[in-house]
Amino acid sequence: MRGSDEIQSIRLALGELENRNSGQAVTLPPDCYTSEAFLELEREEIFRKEWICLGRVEEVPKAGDYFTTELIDEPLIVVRGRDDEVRVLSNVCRHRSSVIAVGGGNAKNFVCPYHAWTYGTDGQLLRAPYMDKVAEFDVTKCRLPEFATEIWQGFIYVNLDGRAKPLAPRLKSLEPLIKNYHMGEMAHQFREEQAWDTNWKCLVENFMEGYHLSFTHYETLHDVTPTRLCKKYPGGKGFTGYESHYPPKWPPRTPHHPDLTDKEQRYTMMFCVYPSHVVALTPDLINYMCMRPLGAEEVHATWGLATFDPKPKRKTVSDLHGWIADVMVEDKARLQSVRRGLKSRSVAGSPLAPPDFEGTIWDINCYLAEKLSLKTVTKSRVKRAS
Amino acid sequence: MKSISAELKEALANIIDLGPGQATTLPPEFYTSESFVELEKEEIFRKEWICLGRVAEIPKRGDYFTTQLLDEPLIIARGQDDKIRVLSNVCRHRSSVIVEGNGNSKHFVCPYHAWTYANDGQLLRAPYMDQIKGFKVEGSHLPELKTEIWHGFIYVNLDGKAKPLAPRLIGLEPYLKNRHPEDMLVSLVQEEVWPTNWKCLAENYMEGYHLSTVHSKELYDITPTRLCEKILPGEAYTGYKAHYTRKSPQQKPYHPNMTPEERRFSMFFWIYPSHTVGITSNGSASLALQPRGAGEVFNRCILSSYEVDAARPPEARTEGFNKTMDEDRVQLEKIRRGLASRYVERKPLGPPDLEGTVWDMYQYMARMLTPKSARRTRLKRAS
Repeated sequence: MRGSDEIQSIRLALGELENRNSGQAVTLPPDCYTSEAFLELEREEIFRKEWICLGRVEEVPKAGDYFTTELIDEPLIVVRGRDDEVRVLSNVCRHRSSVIAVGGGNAKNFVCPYHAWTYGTDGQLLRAPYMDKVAEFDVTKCRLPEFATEIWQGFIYVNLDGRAKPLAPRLKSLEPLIKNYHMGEMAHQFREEQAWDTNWKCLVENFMEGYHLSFTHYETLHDVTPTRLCKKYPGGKGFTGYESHYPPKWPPRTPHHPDLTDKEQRYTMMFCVYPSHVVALTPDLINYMCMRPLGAEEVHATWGLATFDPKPKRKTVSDLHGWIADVMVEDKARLQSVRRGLKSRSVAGSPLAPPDFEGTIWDINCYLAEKLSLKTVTKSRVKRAS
Repeated sequence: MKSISAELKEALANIIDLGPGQATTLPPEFYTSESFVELEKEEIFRKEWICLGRVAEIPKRGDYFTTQLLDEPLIIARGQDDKIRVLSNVCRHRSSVIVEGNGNSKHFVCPYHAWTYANDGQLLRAPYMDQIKGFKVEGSHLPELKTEIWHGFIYVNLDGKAKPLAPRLIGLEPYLKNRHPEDMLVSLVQEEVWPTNWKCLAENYMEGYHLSTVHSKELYDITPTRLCEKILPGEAYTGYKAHYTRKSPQQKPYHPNMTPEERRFSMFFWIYPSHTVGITSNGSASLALQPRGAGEVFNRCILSSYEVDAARPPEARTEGFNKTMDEDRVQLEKIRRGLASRYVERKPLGPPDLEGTVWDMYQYMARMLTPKSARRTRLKRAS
């Protein structure tokens, strides 16, 4: 009962947010970040219904390559089948519900460790010991559920409820801004699973706003991408972002695709594919995170890196890893402080900083309001009814 | 009152009219229930005066320390105007905690986006926000919470509606006026979490019944149970005198105003709900407590004395005190296990001089948590 009252008041507050124009941009109500009941709503209405990024296609280059992951209680296998198609399969045995595969690798079949039920890389059940003695059981009719999947720019997205509209059209206006980087041709370097003690939106916002760069990252990023040089570009239905420009003195970032214009070589292209896939695209690499909530104050993030250089030196990769990890340490400290602060009853809405610095947060807030505000739900009900 | 079981509700309502001769323990739920501790936070810790520390911790302009009360991060700062304020330690922009630890500063700079506040809480600078129409730094201020200083202790009241504290403690003045706790220097501040209910730690600190048993080594020769003497409680406090044995040596230096009689006992007082202080002839130990759940208490412990020997390391200054507390820690762990049993029954408390403080505290809790309307009905029913 308390949960539904709580949600109701948050959704009404989101409705009020929708009445504002971008000149009146404000922060979300604090409960959006701390309420477990609201997170449940987000899981159902956003993470089950939207396209959620799970990783890169170069992580599964050959037939039989796979990795396992999880999205809001759904264990998943991402696998390239013999037919070269990348599929996202349920990683739960159809028999007694055991998780089947762990980690990643290359496999011909997936064998459930409990009773050795064996599935093909396309999810088809191939063998089930002694089940031939069970009348009416037909191996050929049993398969692992396959989820709606879309590949965009080398990223693999899944849609759990299978009803999301295709992703690419929603990102159409982003394409001209990133086409010269040729992300699809970049080479996967590493993937790391992380748990952050923060609400998933705090981590998305933190990645996606340039306001904190000169202050939180004075030691690490201020010289490369200072706050003052951040410039937002217009967002679209499925994304928002900004350009994080380099000062003239900063050396070129190479190697990069020859198609990149002189201008494009001088900034990092930041974008967020709603709800929770964030990317920093520099001339020479892709640094990205895919977030899925574990609780109101805990988020699972997959951090990955791909480079234009197909075979960079090992030291280059470990330097990059170290440098980004140092930046993350600074972010972790900030987000820890935000987590404590958000619980205070003194928190009131604040105006957001100018669009170039925090306009992305306003876009994300509007996206969230559109999905979850009470007013929206009423509207769509009316539409459906008529 | 939906957070309390009918049994505990009835038990609390019933004790309001009972005298000290009828003192009994309360059901274990009083100490073990998570929903009861939520109620305590709302009805007591947000509404009452809660001690945060001592004035002597921030003697100079710009001095500050940080702490947290319930979910509220706080800065306790002495401003350039010499006034002590308790400020919300949460940035008005994106809710980051602003400062940690303690120090001296004219400004508090949020580490996230460098919003900068004066030490009176006024926002001074917010990068690039001059581009936002209608935003004025002058219009933004860290919330300042209601504060009162009493005998050198700093108290805060979160909901801002508590009546002034000092008048409610007037009955304690005769016991404190010659001891001048406000003149003591801070010897050590230690913040710790004890795995016990906050009331178990407070009761343990505030009753003399256990002194001769639990502390047979550390305290029996100095302040044995048999020499404890309770004082008359007030609406907002209780306390007792722990008299010294004749053999125990006189601790020095004591305050020159103290009478020869006053030099021969420690004064323990309990400012409800959770500030407990023991003042010996030459120093004091203050425990400012707050719940962190039913089974955990945060203790901001401050040791003070009229003279602090800076040459001695802090560990040496606190050795005796910590030994005694270690004995209590062992005992409180036994109580934690015992309270989980289903066979715990309500039993009489020890005599008033020895455990009357616990009963006084029960009565206070009953007053705080039993609505006036419920009390009136009870009287009617009785007549």
